[in-house]
This record gives sequence, structure tokens and C-alpha cells, in this order.
Amino acid sequence: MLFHTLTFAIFFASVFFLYINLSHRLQNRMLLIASYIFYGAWEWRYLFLLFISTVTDYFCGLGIEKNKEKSQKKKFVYLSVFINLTLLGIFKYYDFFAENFKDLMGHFGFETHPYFLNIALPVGISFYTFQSISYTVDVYRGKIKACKNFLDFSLYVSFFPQLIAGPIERGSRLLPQILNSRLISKENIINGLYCIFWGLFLKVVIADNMADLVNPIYNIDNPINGILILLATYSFAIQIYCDFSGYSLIAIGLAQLMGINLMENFRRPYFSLNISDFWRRWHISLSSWFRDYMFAPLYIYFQNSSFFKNKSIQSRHLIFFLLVLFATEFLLGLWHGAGWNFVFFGIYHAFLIGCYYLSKKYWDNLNKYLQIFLTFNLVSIGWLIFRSDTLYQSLIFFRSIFTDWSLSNELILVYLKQFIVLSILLFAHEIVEEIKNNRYAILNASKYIQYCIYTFMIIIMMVYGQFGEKKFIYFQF
Amino acid sequence: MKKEQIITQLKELIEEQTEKRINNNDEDINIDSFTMMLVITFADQKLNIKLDMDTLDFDKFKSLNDLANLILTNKKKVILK
Repeated sequence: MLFHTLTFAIFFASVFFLYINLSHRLQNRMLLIASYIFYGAWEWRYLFLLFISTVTDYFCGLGIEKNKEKSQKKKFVYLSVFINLTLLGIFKYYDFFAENFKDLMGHFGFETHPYFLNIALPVGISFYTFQSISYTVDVYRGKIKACKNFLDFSLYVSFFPQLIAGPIERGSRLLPQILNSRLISKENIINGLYCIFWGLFLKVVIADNMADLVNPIYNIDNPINGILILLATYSFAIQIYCDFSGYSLIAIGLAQLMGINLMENFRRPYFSLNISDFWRRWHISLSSWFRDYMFAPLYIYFQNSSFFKNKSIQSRHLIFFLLVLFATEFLLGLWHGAGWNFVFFGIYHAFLIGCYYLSKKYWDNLNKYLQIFLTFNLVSIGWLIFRSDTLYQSLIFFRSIFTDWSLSNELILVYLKQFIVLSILLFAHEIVEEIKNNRYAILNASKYIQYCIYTFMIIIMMVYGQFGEKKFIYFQF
Repeated sequence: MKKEQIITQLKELIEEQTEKRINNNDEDINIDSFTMMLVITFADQKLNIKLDMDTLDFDKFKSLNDLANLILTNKKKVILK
């Protein structure tokens, strides 16, 4: 059930109608049923995975709170992490590791026949398992109290607007909003509708039309032209941003209509001044998850060890930072998908962040617009790796970009025109938001300007929008 | 060590790292992970205070005052133990 389909519109209208006519307790129960229907509509056979995660973390949360001894509490955290990651490992990574094991053994002359599951990836598994894990860790850290009501906790794990592709929420933010009664203000309605409207525009107009530029180039093994690859790569940079931030905005908007505030997931990442800044603006809920539950604990573990005790503060910090950075980005890459190109994507970003901090003094003195331009290009190289089917394909594409610059291909002009028009549609809006530093900047414009903008957007959506034709990219993660 | 002394040392460390002047102790210093980790190492090696992951909440530490309070909270924990 895709957000940009009539089926979903009918589904949400029904949910919303019931929602505004029910008491708080019944709202929660109805939302839970709706969330399971929403997920079941994708693949009902995987509902049990969602249920296992929920049951595990509900009881682990209670176990942590009940026990006074830290060592006992820790056991429940380990249990939660183990069960969640095992499910993720089996359903997302098993075939990948089995394939690589087979190849590795074959390399040494051993023929192996591992069993392959050959199953479709359970949609949203990477998102809800991470959200669920963060809950038990936060209960352990004492940041939140364990949720006593199983049905309310189930809603926390399965809340349908953000179940499939985030934002990955935290217990400290979402649970209180579930447990306490909610007020739907006029501001909620206006902001929510605005988010849904802009999110839809990003998805059906910009992302899906950009996809038409990207897919024909990336789906062939022998690239035709370096300039076309470059254009397709820049197009993909815009596509993935509009696709994913579009989804997040719709999710935020839907939740707001029900009086629930979800966290911001994107903050105009293509205006980042450096690569570190990029990760503070891109998929914020995931990067902050890795920072809080992996990067910082691992760093503190090294810090508390006796490694490099004789080094100065700065040197010790730099060594640990780089070590932990590479480990985190490796896993962050792998989180995106079971493929070496995703792993390399993560390592590439770790390398860029490392280089940035090593050359910070020089980089920060560059012209601001040059910093933005360079960062966008470095990020786009990462997208080339990310979008390629294999590492080998990305290497071939890189070679073509640097060697084949023939301008004779008539497709270039067609591609360029579409790329420029779609980019203008995106950045005209983004620039206003960036200058005002406000996601709702357009809502502060005069009514007349707003009507003109909305009318223009509706016409563009009706003419060029691709409703319900293409899935969201991040569903595959 | 008193809070003022901690703030002075933190200010010096962060200004050197970020190359930006911090004008007051409540100013949002827009701290990134790199600088936050530097503060953790500084607290351990200079002040002999091990920061506990349980007390770290990156979204809450925005100013020098916040960071100094974090360090002092962990110092109290050490004393209590």
C-alpha cells in the first residue's frame, strides 16, 4: 500500500475518520489494528517478525526495569539485541553471506553448496528492528521507563506512517505521545497537510521523473557515454533525496494530522558545507541512531581502555575517532543493503569524513559556495557506488566518466533539459527553506503567493505526476 | 575542579578545535560528534572523569554550560561510588 495511491488515500481517510471519533484509548487500539493491516497488505506472512520484535522488546524492557543489578539488566539488553539482529541477519543478510562464503571457499578450491533462503526481504525490517532496539537500550540507560501496556508498546513499534521507512523514532519521543492523549490543533492540520502535499510532489513529480533518467543508464552493463552517466548520477542524487525525504515528509504529515510529531529526517542536505555536515542533515534518524547506539559507546569503550595511553589528547582522540568511524560507516553501509557496493559506500563516506577532519583548517577557509559545490559532488560520487548493481559496474561507470566525453549523443540534450527543469522545481523551494531555516517557510508567505504556488504545483502534479507507479527506494532496505 | 575552571578549559579546547569564538557559556556551540568525542577524551585524560554512556544525550548538550554540567554529574557519580 504505497502512500501515493488511491488505495492508501481511502485507507487513511477511513483511519482518520475513526480516529477523530474515538477516545484516546480506542484511538490507540484502532491505530494498532490499522498498522497491522497496513503491514499485512505488503506481506501478511512477515507480520510474525514484527510481532516477535515487539514481544521481545516489551518483555526485555520490563525485565530491565524489574531488575536492580546492572549485570542482570544487561542480559536483557543483550537478549533484545541478539533476537532483533538475528531476525535481521537471517532475513536480510543470510543469502549474501552464504553467497560470499561459497565464493570464498571456491577461491581456495573447495566446492560448497550452502543452503539459500531465496526469500523476499521483509519490508521495513531494518527500520522497525532499530526502533525496537533503541527502546530497550534507552530503558537500560534510564532515559525512559518501560512501557507497561503491551498494546501501546505494539503501536510504538508498528505505527504505520513510519513503519516501512522511518523516521526511526525513539521511545523518549514517540512513546509519551502514544501514552498520553493527543490534541489535534489547527497548526497540526495545516503543517500536516503541507508536509503531505510537498512530500507527494517530491515523490511523484521530481523523484519518479528523475528515475526515468537514471534507470535506463544504470540498467545497462555497457554505458554509452560518460556525460550521460554523470547526468544520470546527478539525477540519482536528486531522485534518492526527493524519494526518501518525500516519504519522510508524508509520514510526518500523516502523523501530524493525528496530533503526533515525528522527528525531522532531512534538513536540506545538499546545502551541506562538508561531509560531516551532510550526515547531520541526511537521514537524521538513522545517523543519530548509529551515533547514539554504536559510535559513541564504541568510542567510550576504546577511551576507557588502556590503548595509546601515552599519546596526547588530540592524537588519542583522532586514532579512536577514525577507528570507530570506519567501523560505524561499514555497518551503516551494510544497513542499506546486502551488497559490497553498500559496504564500499559506507567506507567511502568514512574516508571522506576522516579526510575532512584531517584537512578541516583548509576546508573551512574555502568559499562557502565552493564548499557546498564540492560536498555535493563528493556525495554524488557516493551515489554512483550506491546505485550501481555491483562494485564492478561502478568501476566501469567511473572509467567512462573520465574517458568518454563525446558530445555527439543526442540523448544528452534531452536528459539535460529534464534534469534542469526538475532540479529547479526542487531547489526553488529548498533555497527558500534554507534562507529562512524553516521547513514551513512557504506557509509564512502571503495567502496570494501561497495560492499561486499550490495551483502551480497541483497543475504540475496532474500533468507530470506518476501516481502509484514506482515504489519508494528505501523500501528495499 | 570548579565549574568555571572546567568551562574555561572546555572553551579553550573547543575554540581550538572549531576555530570559532564562543562568546558566552549558554551559546549553542553546534557540537558535532568529533568535538563531543574530544570532550570525552579530555574529561578522561585531563580531569580523570570517565563519562558514562548512560548520561550522554547528544541532543541535549548544546552549550559550554551543558557540557560542564555533564562532566560534573559524572564526577559526582565517581565520588558516590
